[in-house]
Amino acid sequence: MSLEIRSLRKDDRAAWAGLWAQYIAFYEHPPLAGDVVETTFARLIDPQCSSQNGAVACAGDEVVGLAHFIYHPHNWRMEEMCYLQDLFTAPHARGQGVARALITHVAQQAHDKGAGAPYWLTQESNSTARHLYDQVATLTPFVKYQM
Amino acid sequence: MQTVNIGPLKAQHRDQWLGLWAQLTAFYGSELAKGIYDQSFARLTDKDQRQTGAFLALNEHEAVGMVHFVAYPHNWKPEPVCYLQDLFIVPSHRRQGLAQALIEKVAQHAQAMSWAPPHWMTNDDNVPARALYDRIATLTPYVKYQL
Repeated sequence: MSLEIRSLRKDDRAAWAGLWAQYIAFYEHPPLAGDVVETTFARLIDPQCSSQNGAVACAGDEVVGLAHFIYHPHNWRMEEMCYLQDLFTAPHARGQGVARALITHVAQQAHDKGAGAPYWLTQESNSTARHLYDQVATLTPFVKYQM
Repeated sequence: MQTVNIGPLKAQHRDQWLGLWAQLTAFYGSELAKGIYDQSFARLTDKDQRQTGAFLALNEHEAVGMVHFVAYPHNWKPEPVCYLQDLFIVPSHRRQGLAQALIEKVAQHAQAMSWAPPHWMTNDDNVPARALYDRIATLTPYVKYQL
């Protein structure tokens, strides 16, 4: 499979929304309201909105994966941090390096921007994803609390 | 506890804040370059930016606790989320409800700013902190990876 990773753009809207809905469902989260999806997509493709960014993986004409990443200030560093917030590969395109390529792309984007290397969160029980993450990144001792 | 006041971090608190901050970073085995302290302090006390901020707990003129927070965009919701990044209480003032009071202060601020409620990360072996967090927040199933 020849894979191209590039920034999310306006004409990806339909394909992106399909993957995004599957991703949200994976987290057993109710579907996001239409206006939330619209707002997020608009921010992800808006070059003026530099803190919220999207990338897609394309196999030929088909969009088979997405990554969303956010830049935010960090009190321990001069540079901004890059938070890889969402990562999804279409089920039929798994096991072919799509997620790894997306992570590499986000890392390159962060590097080019002068931001810190990406971090991300994943469910402790997501063994499929963690199999990859354990190869490409470092598991930190941090757990997350939510108020 | 009765004599402790919690308020926004201000420019005149620089020395007190530095003392706490150095203790916090030392707890995590880190020492930051001076430029990072300068930049973080300037940003945390800059009234013209609302993305990051801090509260300081003062016992008379002695700084006894502090908390830093940062808001950043989230793809799942239109409003920013509030990330409580740093929380520290001097050893002499622990177990008096100060950490809880600082967290609640951030939660109130987040609500006033229409941000999603605070989340934070902690070392999974930080037993004393987690005893509090388990009471006032929800442990999520998320673990953190860093590239």
